[in-house]
Amino acid sequence: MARGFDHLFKLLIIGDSGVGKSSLLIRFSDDTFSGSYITTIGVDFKIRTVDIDGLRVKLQIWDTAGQERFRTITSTYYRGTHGVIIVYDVTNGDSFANVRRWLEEIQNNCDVVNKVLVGNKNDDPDCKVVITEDAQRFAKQMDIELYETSAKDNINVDNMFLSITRQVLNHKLRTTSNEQQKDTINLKNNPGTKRRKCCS
Amino acid sequence: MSTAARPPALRLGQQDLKCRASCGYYGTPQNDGLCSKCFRDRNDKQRKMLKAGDMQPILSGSHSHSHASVSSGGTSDRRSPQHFQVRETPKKQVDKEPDTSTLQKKKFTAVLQKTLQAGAQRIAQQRGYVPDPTESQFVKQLQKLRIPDDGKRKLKSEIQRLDSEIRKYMNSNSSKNIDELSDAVQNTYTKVADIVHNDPRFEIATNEDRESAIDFFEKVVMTQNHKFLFSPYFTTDEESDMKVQKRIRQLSWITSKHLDCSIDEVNAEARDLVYSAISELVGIDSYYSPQEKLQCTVRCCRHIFELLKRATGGPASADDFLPALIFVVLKANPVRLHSNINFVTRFTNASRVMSGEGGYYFTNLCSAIAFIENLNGESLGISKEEFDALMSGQQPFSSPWESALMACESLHLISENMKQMERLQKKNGDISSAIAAFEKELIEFQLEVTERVDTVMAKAPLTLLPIKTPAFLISQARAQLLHEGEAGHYQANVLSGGHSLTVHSGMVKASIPAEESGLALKDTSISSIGRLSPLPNLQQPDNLFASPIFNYAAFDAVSLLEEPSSGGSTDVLMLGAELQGGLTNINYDFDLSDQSGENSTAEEAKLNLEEFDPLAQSSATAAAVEPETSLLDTTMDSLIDSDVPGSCVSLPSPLKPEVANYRGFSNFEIPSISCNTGDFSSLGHDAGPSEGHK
Repeated sequence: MARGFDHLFKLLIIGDSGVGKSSLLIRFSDDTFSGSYITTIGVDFKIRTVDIDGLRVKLQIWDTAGQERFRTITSTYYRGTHGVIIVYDVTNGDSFANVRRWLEEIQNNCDVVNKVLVGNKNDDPDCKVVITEDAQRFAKQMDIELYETSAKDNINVDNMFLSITRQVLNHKLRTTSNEQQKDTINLKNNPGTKRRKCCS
Repeated sequence: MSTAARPPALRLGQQDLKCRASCGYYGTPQNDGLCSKCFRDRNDKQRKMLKAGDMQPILSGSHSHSHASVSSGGTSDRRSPQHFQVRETPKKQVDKEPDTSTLQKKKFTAVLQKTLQAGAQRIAQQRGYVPDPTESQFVKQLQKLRIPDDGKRKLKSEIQRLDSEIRKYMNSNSSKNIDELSDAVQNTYTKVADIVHNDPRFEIATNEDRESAIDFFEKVVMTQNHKFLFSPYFTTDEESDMKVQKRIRQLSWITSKHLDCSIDEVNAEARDLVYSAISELVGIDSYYSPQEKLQCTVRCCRHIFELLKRATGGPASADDFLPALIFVVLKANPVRLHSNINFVTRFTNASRVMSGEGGYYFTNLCSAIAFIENLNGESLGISKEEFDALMSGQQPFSSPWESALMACESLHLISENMKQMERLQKKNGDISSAIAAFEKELIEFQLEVTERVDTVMAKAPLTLLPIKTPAFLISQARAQLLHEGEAGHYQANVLSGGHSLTVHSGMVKASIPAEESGLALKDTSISSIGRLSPLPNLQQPDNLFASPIFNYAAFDAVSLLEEPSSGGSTDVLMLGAELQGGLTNINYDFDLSDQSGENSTAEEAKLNLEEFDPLAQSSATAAAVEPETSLLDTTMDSLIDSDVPGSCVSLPSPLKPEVANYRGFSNFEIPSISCNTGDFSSLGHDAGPSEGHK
């Protein structure tokens, strides 16, 4: 089967309003650094295909509204999500404090999901209020990878996305191998779903 | 596609919506037009009846389908079975229960056809059913699919299998669970996808064609079973629809400010885009297949994105998008919102709503609805009390959207009126400018006319016109003059003595031709004189003065006595006259000479010359003449008053006194000259030059 990709992953970007979720998305999907950029449909729905270990992975990234008032309703977005990118603003302490709540949100909505913590707007040391050490400690505590990025200056953005993609890919490959061992209904449905995803 | 079939269904009367068992509740098409309670009762009854009778399978649908699939071996036959299947769909529902006796016969094609028609008719009568023309389109589309014929047949059989499965489930009497059905359908999707991708019959097909085959499968099955699967009676979809609709109605006070979204509610361009988004959102309900519903959602969301792009001046983010979508949903208040959402969620290919653009927007739509259902004062940034007051309608509100909607008509009217006013103003301006132009033209015209009149007047002043005397009058006047002159002569003759009578009369007679020519000349000359100079005014006194009587008087008094001296003076006179004619106007000279002999401007000029010679002589005679002239003047008055150019010259009376005065000055000289010589000499001389001039 000649497809444009080997895997299709759905990633979700969450985080407080105004931390630069959309900017990260635009930077990642519109920058032509490597891999083939396929299409831009909406700003908050981007597709990009990247190469990881020789496998073509199509990334479909969904942006979400970060306002407090919409927090309860974002659960629908988690359906079928492979990975979540939690974004905070290094110049805004509150956004970092809210990360814990976002993590809870993920916990409530999906079972196993791959996560990455992103401190965005890391381009002006003078404005930085969330110290890297604090963030790092918190990330370790939560068992989550931390990236400090700048969508404006294009710092670390691709690394971050590639990292989460690899994480999701590894997770998928792991579960697929598990599938072959186990034979539950749950897992039986999974490959079919995945195949369909590729087709859609 | 559904638009053709949908409108009649939406236009059902109230009575048609009621339960056919006339229990007062509303019925649904899924329940054969019965309400859920009556439907259940009837089902129970029928089950018992069927159990009592032979165990005839209820599902006529599955029978006909199997029949159809059998006959679908040939490509040419393919269309007709499909048709049967299609038309049968609604029929089965109606026919199934009312006459169970016919069920058995349905196995046979002929009977099937017949009942099908009857059923179709009944349906048409009952619900205004319009046969869905899309079914034949499906067959065409199936043929168009670029997959091998084997694959097509396989796909078709799969479609029919799922179709029958759904109907079987729907018509079974066991307790129904929509999730079970959904799972079954989803599993079938997976199976079909598996077949399409892995079955050898699809081997030569490209990926794209496989995808379209899967899409086609879903579309056909869902469109055909829409009426069963959309808002089924055993779910609470309908109630949820009503609930959310009511809630949205209650929330009509929400403005874009509450939602913190960047929609400018009163901007015309933004409104247009919101309207298009709303119409797409409302249109979701009019499509049958989940794919089309999703496409509709995507279109709606694209309008919102366009709107946000214009509002924010850059690419919009989800932070902006979701509030805007919520706003649109609130203002659109689409019908059967939950039913549509649930239909798509349950029966579309699961991957569709989990990934892809359609999935993303659909998810956003679901989130928007969830937000609307759960929102409270806090989520809108207002106090709980205010929220409650607004929800209960206690607190009046004014949302820009609503007021803009309401004002729309008036605004439209205003703008229309403004346009009209503008048109009128323009017309008015045109008229004003035209008036101004016309006025200017008029003034110019007036000026032109005045100018022309002035030039004409300058060329031909009217001042002399009164002087002009008709020719016939002249002759009359002349006749009269002659008479009077004769009379005058006679009188004078009587007075002065008979010795000169013959001479004088002869002289007068001799002067007539000369006079005639002189008058004629004068008539023509008047105009020219008038133009050239006011000379006639000066001349007139001479003419006035030059009367036969005067001549006579002068003649009487002086001429005979001073004949020798006057001979020299006449020479001078003639000379002067000739000179004068050369200088100014000869005619006029002759006139004078005709009438009064020597009385002319020329003579006046000459008089001065003459004054040197005859001054001493004439001074004495002038005194004697003067009273006579005054007397003569009075007689002349009568002549002039009667408009007769008597006195040989038609001179205006008003000038007469002047003349008299003037005479008064020069009288003492002139008579002596003119009287003495004028009569004789002028008569003789004048005839010659005047004729010469002629």
